[in-house]
Amino acid sequence: MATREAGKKMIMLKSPDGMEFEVEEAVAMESQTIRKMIEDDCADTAILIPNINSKILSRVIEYCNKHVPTTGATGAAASDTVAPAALAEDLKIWDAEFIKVNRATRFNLIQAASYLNIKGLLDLTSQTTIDTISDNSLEEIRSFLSTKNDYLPEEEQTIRRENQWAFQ
Amino acid sequence: MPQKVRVAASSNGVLPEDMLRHILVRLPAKTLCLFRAVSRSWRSLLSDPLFVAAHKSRHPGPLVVTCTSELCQRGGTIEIMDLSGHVVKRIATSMENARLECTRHLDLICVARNEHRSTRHVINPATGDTFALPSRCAKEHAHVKHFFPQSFDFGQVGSTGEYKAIRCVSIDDSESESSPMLCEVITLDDGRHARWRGKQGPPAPVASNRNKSVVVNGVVYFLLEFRRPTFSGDHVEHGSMALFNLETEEWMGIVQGPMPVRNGGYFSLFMELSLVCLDGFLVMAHNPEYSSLDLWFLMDAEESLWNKRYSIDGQHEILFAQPVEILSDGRIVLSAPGRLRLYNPITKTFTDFEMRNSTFVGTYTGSLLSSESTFTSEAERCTVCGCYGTLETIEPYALCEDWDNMLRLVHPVRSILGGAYYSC
Repeated sequence: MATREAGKKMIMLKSPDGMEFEVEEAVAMESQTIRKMIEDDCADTAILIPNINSKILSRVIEYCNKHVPTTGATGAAASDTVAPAALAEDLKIWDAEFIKVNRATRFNLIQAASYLNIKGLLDLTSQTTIDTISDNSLEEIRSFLSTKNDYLPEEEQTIRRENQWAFQ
Repeated sequence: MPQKVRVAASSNGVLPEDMLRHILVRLPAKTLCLFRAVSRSWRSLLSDPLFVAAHKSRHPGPLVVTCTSELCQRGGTIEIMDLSGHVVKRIATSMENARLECTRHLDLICVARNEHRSTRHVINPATGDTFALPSRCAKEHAHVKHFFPQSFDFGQVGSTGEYKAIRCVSIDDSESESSPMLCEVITLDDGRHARWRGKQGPPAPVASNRNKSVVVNGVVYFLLEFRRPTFSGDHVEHGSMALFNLETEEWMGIVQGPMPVRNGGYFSLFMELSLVCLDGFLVMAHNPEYSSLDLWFLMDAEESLWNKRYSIDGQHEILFAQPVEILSDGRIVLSAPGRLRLYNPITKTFTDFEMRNSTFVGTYTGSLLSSESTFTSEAERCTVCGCYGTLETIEPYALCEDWDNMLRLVHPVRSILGGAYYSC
């Protein structure tokens, strides 16, 4: 349901648990998936976002709101007045706060970012997960990702031998 | 509209496999090889050719390769580094006094034994497989008494993906003689049946030193010994090269060097010139009197058309520097004694990384995740150093041609393979 408010085109996003979010079109178009729907004229009524619950969707919208390129009243990019480096630094701090969530939420955000095709959010969530698992032992990684070690002892020996250089 | 995402799967803290791929593909190869030990499903995911390809395109490299050998130490060490000087992988070779050569833009590494030109190993750094190239001459050249392999190069045929090596062989012991040189080619993919095959010799004497030949897009460029005439008696311009097509295995004629290069004294000029492949072009690097480093790109071989695309100034900055690669951001990778230098042609500044001293620096563009074997299918395995050899090796001590090693073995290992003695 596209409406107009203060000269900005609005888009309605619906989560499967029945919540509706009205966002600016520019914000929604941070998602390449939604952008394509809008460009293909599939977005006349509210867009149902399957598989992403309202809690996660609201966080995704929060991210997009922050990351949408801001434009001034005249349409000139805000970066004309604010130093781009300072703006990027500000975003970085904001991102670091934003991603301080529990594991389940982060995994949900990864999936949402992947489905909605929001590169910045996917990079942020993936990188945070990488930082978590990179320095951990195999046992910690297994427990973090709820994966079981299903190798037989001799199989594990073979795997370790084949990839010996990585264990050094 | 893709409907892949399963919310239920993640609410219990398990990440679906396609999400896992998104994340893991960002990690370096070494970490991923370690992660193969997490579980069976991780192993199959991390060895999947599609994943390996996705990882490669996300980490296009190139990686830098060096090889060092300490005196009095058996074997050499190959180091594969990223462009910030971090060693990504270290490989030990069984070859004594190993030195790196002809390692550029391939997923294979070539080492030769110092002062022992005919002994060469080709190594797949991802699997550690080593292939010992035979040294015995082609059967067409069996009658030749004096057989001195002079120059060697190694590359890939674009259309078929085959790996081939070429060597030019002098049959005189003295340089003043002018008997035509011989040429031989070998296809590595032939495994145990790999043999040097006699081919038509080069049109003029080719130079034998380091960095005097290079393979670009399946064509081998050999710098000529330009103080000597062609074998048919014609004058050779300074800086000329002979071209060999690895696919058709035929010589393609002589290409003249850039005009300013042609007027130098022989000895200084010979020292100042080297051939390298940059950005897919054959490049002649010219370091005139060590005052600048000019990079001449060959634009058209038939017309001998050259373009001096870069000239790096600064006497100390470029002393003994050798171009290695041009990165996608335009920076030029140079190797210099003890360090790797990244030159930014716009700001004309250098970023340096320390690197163990190595006389040859190569590039590796393969994937260290790959577990596909290059040579094992048909080749025999040496019982001493574990390298793969050819049928020729089914003779005592023939595999590595490493006579010093053989003498040093108190009890030479002789195992019987295919009914013949086999050792190195």
